[in-house]
Amino acid sequence: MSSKYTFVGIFRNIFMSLVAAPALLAGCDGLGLSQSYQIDRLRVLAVAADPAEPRPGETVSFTSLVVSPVSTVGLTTWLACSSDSGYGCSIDEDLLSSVTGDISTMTPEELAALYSQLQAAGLIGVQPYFEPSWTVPTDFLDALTEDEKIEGTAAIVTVTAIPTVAGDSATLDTATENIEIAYKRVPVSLATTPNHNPVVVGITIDDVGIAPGAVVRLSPGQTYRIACELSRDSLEEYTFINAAGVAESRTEEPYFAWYLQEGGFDQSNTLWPYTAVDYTVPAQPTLSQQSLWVVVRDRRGGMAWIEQQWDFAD
Amino acid sequence: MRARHVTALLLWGLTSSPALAGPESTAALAAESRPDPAAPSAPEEPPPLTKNPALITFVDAPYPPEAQAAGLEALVTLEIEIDASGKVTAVTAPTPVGHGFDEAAIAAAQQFLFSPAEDASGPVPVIIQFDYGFVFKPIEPTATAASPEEQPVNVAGTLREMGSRRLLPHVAITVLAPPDATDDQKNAASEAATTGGWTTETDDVGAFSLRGIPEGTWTLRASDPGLGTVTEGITLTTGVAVDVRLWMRTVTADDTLYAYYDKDKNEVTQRTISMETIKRIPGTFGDPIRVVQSLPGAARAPFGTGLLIIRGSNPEDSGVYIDGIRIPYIYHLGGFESVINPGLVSAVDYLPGGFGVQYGRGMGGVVDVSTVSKWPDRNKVTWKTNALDSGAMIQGRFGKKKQHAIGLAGRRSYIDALMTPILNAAGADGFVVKPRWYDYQAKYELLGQRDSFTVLFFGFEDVLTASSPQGTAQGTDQDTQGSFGTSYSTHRFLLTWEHPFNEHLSLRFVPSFGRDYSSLVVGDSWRLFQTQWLAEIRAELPWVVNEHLKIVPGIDFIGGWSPFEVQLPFDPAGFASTDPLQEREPFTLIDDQWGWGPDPYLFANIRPLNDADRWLITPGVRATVALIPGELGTASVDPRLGSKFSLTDRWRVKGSVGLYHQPPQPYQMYRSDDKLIQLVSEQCLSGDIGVEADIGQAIHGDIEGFYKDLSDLIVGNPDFSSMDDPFFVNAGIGRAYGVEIMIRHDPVGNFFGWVSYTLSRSERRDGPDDDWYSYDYDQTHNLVGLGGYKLPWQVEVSARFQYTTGNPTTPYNLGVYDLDQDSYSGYSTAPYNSERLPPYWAVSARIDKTFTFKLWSLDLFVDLINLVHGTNPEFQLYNYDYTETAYVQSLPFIPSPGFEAKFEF
Repeated sequence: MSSKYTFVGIFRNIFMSLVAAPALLAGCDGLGLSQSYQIDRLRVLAVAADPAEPRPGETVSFTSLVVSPVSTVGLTTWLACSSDSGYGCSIDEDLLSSVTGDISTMTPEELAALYSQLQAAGLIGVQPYFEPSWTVPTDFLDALTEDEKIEGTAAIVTVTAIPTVAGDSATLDTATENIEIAYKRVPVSLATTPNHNPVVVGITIDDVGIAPGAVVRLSPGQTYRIACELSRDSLEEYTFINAAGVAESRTEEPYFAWYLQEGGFDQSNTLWPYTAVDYTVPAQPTLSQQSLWVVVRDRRGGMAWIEQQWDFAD
Repeated sequence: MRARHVTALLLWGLTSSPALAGPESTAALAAESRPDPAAPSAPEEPPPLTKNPALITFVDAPYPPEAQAAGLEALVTLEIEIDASGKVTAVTAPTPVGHGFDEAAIAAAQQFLFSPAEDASGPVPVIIQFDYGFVFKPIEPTATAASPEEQPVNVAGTLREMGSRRLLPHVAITVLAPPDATDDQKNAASEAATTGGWTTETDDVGAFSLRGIPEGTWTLRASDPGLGTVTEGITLTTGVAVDVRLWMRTVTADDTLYAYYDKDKNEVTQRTISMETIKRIPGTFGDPIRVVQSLPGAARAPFGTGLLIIRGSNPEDSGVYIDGIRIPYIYHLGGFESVINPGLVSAVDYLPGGFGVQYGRGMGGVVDVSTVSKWPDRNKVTWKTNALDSGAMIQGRFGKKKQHAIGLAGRRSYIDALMTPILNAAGADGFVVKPRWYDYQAKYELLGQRDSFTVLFFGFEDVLTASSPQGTAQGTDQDTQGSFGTSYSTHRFLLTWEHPFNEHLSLRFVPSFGRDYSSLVVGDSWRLFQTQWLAEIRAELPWVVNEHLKIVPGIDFIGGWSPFEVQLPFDPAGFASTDPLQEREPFTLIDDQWGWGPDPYLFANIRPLNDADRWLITPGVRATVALIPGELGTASVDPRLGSKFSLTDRWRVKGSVGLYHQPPQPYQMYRSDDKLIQLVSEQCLSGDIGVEADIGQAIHGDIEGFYKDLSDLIVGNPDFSSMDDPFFVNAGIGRAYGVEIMIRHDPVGNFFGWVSYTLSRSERRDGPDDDWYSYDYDQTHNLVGLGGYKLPWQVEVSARFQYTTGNPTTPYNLGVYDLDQDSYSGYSTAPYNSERLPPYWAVSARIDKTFTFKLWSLDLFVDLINLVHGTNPEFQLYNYDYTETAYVQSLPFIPSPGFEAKFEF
């Protein structure tokens, strides 16, 4: 046993990280790197499964929040697989490469045939042509014990969004740096209290409720308090069987991620019960109309979101 | 034609008035050869001298009457030509000083006799430079003059050294006519000079007295060739004795030469640096440990921190010792300052590799810090303040025979008070980091006894807290919100007892006891606490068999008990799933662990030649043992061999080969189910070979090549698939090799400095089927040049330049978004560490100005860190989705002012 027999390495790395913390914290801004909360490129911000926690044999439909401020979304592909696949799902590229034809001129029958081919390759949706849906295999939980089936396991859904070339909505921009790949877990279980997606009721700006779809006028340079309101039943209570085999009752603690196009937040993440941020409008907005997005996660796989648009007073 | 040797032999001859005792003469070192300007063009370069001429017969020059009458002194620089027999053949004074001094010095020097100078071929003629000094002392009064004893003492006083207040003995004191003297005063002074009156010398305790000085205003002068001259005006009134306190600013003694290679040491490659040198090196905050980074073999640490990355090893692979006892941390938070007050450090031994069996449990280098062992005659108090902290130190001796020596020191940082505005200025408001630390040292030594006995008690604590305003999210994890705090502390109590049984056998026994503590608290959910009670014993029994053989058995024992507590917001059994949707269950583990390692060792110093200093062979063997009672154990045997051989007085060769083992750390042996797994010690087979040369009396060179073969390295388990698998396995291998070159100029005269260059490569492989990759801190080129120069007016300037190859980096070219985690994972299609950051270069400077007052001295300094620098990226930072990248740069220009005040009493 030596003096090295401590957490020396661990603690030293912690200290080193903290020494570098000022540089890192300043670096996100000071180095001129783009920020996650600033939407300046194609992004997949959220994906919601319905139902949020299916049982084997159930069919799940998916919706997504894909934003692309500088170009249109040309194609969005969806894959599903079991969580054993690791991070995200892969596609049978050989099979995919055998799929040919000009999709824009296909008949409905040809499209249906094409979809069958794509499904065989592992795809569960190709937007805008085929809306994503996935039927959970009936044997999905067969490898688990009866108790484990209550807690369940997760399927993985991978979403790949491909933009079009700016100014040419008919051509896909397949450059790697412009494609967005995201994946999400879909819990599958026999839980007695399966999860549901949270529900966003609306947005308030300086405590004033905003009607759905309304475009709000803001003053450049001003700071506004923006809050996201959830429905009463969004904070679900659920039971959880812990490692000791004892059922525990827990309540969800949602987490909010805030996104914008211009301006700045006092913070871009908030944890329940903090549901509001301060938004400072840029003094000279470059876009006449802009959006704010809030994505809510219930930490059990459920997601919801809302978009708020605004323009600016002269 | 063979060129003649022209040697700048810095000889010093001193003479004074004929009435005084015989001349004093001292001879100092000789310098290197240079071309003879008198020789024909393009002469053959003479070989270096193997023996300098030594002055055998000195002739006292008569004091020039003109100078005697005027009370003048002078230093005459002579060029003396000496033939192969040692006889003086010619003497010139290239820069005459007049007043008859030149002629007198030349006439005397023509009668000198030297021993012949020699080079490899035998006796040779040389030209040397010789400084002949004339010190004025009035002629003793004649028998007819009035007896001084008949007159009353009317001038008395003491002479002290400024700053230290030390009383100066045996310094000439003279009363002179002032610049605006009247004719009567000039005549009186002249007469006194002729008769030898009005002059005396301080006694053994620095006191003096003079009799019979007429009333009026006079100039009192204290003068000594080695110390300097000081004058002070005095006004005398008949019947009144004047008490005068004279203060003299003496010439500061040169720094102690640092022993770059100490023949008494066993290590093949040992670099020892004196503290006086260290304090002047820019960019180190005056810290002794950080100077190691300017020496060969040490890689540049990121962000100017002091991580010890020696010969391609991990920082944890190198050991730091204080008086032979290893400590877990050597730096305070951030790595800018070490945990021991520089004032209590006497030397730092840097062993980059090939070290002996006394050191173990490590595959990297060794830094052994020795605390002060030479105690000042007078009590000394030092206060130092710099940009990071302030501290004080006191050293003194007490007892009837001053046989008890004590040193006390302590420091406290205030950087926590400065961090908030710094972070706010950096745009990092909302997350405030506050580091703070203190350290203390106390040492006692019993002097003048047959047995040596010392006690050292030292410790430190570092605390770092960070917090954000209520409601401000720190990331997306609900269990890491709120405050953050971490701390570690070390306290050690160390005894050293050295007992000579007889002239052949002695004992060195160093027991120590200490406590280490570490903690980490994040929010309300993360808590890690570990306390470690340690007992260490280092004992050696050196047996000097004869002049050619010394055998040293020893033991390096460490044992400890470590209670710890871990609280996590999740069960680590499920940690590997990396599923953010997994329900978290709080986890608590409270346990303790015993462990010990009784490493015995044995080595010998064999000197096989009649000239015992010429060849040293040091074979040794050490057992590296790590035991966790009742559970696990690992043991290995490390044979090592080192040797140094002097080819000539100027050239030495050296080499070593050895095996080094480093036991695994406990956390590496843990498995998620709270059981231990067996890992063996990491192994390093190391070899090095090199040459040293004394290029001149003050210039030395050193070149050394090394190779390290690493095996059984502990790496993450590539086959980890379930919680039944260990997290770590002994599957890694590595290699490090390179060449180190150093040319240094000793701190002789006004200049010190060195150039250090390391060409190296360090690589790793995580498994036999994996590819080699560059180690994270692999730096192909590492060039350091530094130097300091003493200017007049007690000003010293120094500068340091460094160039290193950029560290390896792995490029990421794809980011994949985890929607549940709300974060991107980076993916690379390139091999790990397959690219490099741009190179690093920077110039730092330091200016010291010392003010010496009567009672104390003050050193004002400013460390201009990275005064000029490149972009110097430390690592590559990517944006959130890995589509953009930028460099995080190293430290910018930082002016770090400070002061150090010294008092002696």
